[in-house]
Amino acid sequence: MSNKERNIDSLDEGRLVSLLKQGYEEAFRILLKRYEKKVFGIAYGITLDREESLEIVQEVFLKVYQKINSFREEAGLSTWIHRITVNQCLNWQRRWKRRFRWHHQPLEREGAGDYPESGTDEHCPETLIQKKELGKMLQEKLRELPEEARAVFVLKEVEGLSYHEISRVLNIKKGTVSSRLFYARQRLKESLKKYLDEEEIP
Amino acid sequence: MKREYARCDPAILNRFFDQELGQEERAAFSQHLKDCPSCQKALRENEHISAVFKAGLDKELSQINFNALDHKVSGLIRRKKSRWWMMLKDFFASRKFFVPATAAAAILILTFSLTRGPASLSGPSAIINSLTGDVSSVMIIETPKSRQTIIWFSEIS
Amino acid sequence: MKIRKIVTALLLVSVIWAMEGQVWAEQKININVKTVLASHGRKYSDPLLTAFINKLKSIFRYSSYQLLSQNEMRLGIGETRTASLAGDRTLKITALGIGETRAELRLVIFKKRKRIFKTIIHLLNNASIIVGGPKYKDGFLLFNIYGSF
Repeated sequence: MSNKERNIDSLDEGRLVSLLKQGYEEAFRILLKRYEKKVFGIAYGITLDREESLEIVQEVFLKVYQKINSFREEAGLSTWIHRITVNQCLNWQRRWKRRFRWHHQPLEREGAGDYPESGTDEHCPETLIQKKELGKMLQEKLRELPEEARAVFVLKEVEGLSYHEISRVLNIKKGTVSSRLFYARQRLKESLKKYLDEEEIP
Repeated sequence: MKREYARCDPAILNRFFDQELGQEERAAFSQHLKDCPSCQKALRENEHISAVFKAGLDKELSQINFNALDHKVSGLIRRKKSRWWMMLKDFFASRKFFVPATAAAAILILTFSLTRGPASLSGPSAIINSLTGDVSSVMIIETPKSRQTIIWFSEIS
Repeated sequence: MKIRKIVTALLLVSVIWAMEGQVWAEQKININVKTVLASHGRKYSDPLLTAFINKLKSIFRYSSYQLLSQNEMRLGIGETRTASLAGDRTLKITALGIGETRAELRLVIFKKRKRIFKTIIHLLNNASIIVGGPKYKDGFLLFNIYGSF
């Protein structure tokens, strides 16, 4: 592996895959540097759990290492890694429907999904926005989305993938990508309507 | 210009936002957008949600020590590699016992294959065959790593 | 010559080992039932729980774990034993069968003589099932049922 190739940015995907298949450790380090933030971003977007996302990142790269020799390059390395990441996230969700280490509070809080009562200072939208709760509210509402819709939303927002690219990662039709993304945004907008409307006031 | 795209349609707006419309379709919808406050608002909401989500993610990313994560991943890979290598080394180190050991192993394998059924995977700590109760709710859980089976139920008060 | 002796010895061992599946004596299963009170509030790890506490802490997020009682029993196939749990509850365990790697057990929990919960499980050898959820005092009861045979 030449010194030039050690430069993370200069190595094109085809050459990187070839070096990975030959077992070059340096190539694997380059792969890590290039993809770990993206992988974490997707994992966090889907699981909304930092600890699990870190575990998933490790599992993804271990899988890539183990399966690189069976990787068929026509799929594209990014698509392949995205696919592994999403599958790891969805497998995690299925194994562990709700993160098990719970506080043993009722799983559905009373009034979950309802807006806080208006008129009370503590809960009025202005106060919450001042406390930058919109970000947390968004996370909560994301958690309520079905995982398939969340995966599409995350791939779009985190990676900026096109509908076609998302359809290849998730192995679904382009129309399904469009409808799931539309559904995700509509749900989020409905749930956060009050906060979004407040933000509109000049 | 594709006139059917010059209208209030949340699905078209969504595709416009994601830059998934063709050139003509995009031009038609852009023309409509100039005079439609509700579509403009909807577009701003999309942008807002996107911005808030990305801000949250960036904040999360900034708190991760990726160098430490690199070390963990590299360590994992190295352990996978070395396990195989050590087994191979030990195997060849014991070459002087290779022949009689192979003979004994062959006899053992033959004996076991004739007398035992297929080995089963260990699986979860307990497999639930049936469950009944005068309870208000039940959850059956298996922890991912240790595969510990847990039944959690709430009694009717 | 030496090699022949080793091979003969190994053959003998393998024959005895292969016959292990045959039942020369009735099989029994050893059961240990721990009743633990898990609660929030003050931080407490019962020293009597020792190694088991790490397992609990890795699964649950309570701050306090207290061992209320422990029962040991030995069951043959078809036999039933009773263990007293906390809060007027009792656990009846019946060994329905013992296989190579798993034992079939029926677990029935009673509260004040009323049957509230029954399950039939296949328990892995040297493993446990945790049954939990009943409210007790300021927390919840967990029953760790461990079997070995």
